[in-house]
Amino acid sequence: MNTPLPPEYYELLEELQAVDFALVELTLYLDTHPKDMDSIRQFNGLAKKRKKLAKEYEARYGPLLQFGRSYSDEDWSWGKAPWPWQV
Amino acid sequence: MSQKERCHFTPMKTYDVYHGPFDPCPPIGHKYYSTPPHLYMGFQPRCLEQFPIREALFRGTLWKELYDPYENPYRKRGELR
Repeated sequence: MNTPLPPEYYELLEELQAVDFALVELTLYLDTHPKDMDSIRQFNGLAKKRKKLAKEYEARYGPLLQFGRSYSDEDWSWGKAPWPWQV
Repeated sequence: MSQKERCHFTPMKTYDVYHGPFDPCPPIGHKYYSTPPHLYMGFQPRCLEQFPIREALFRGTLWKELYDPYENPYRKRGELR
C-alpha cells in the first residue's frame, strides 16, 4: 500500500494544520482576553471550518483520531493509512 | 496606543565580554541575545493585525506584531564561531 499520496492530500492536511494552529493561538489569546468578542467570533468561525475540513479529510483519507473520535470505514483500516511521520 | 506610537526596538541586542590579560582563551568578543516583541508590548492590546491563516502557520504566530524571525548573528560575517 505504498502508492504515493495525491497532492490534494497534502493541501487539505496543510489547511487543517493551519486552522488548528490559528485555533491554538486564539485559545491562548482568549484565555487572557475573555471579553474580546471579535476573537471569539473568529474562534467559532474557525472551529466550524475545522469541523468541515476534518469531515472532508476523513471522508477521503481515513480517520484522524481513534477511540470513537472519528468514524471507521468498513475494514477497520485506521492502522493501515500512512502514519503522520511517513506522510 | 497605535502601532506608530509604539517604541521602535531591535529584536536582537549585544554585549561585549571582558577579556582579562591573564585569560588563556582567545577573546569571545560580542555576544548576542534576543529581545522579542512581547517584551515591549506588555499586555497584548486587542484587534492586533493578523497574518492570513495559512501564512500564520509558517510564521509561527497569528499576530504580525509578535513575529520574531531569528537570523543567526554569529553567521553574519560568514564564519560561524
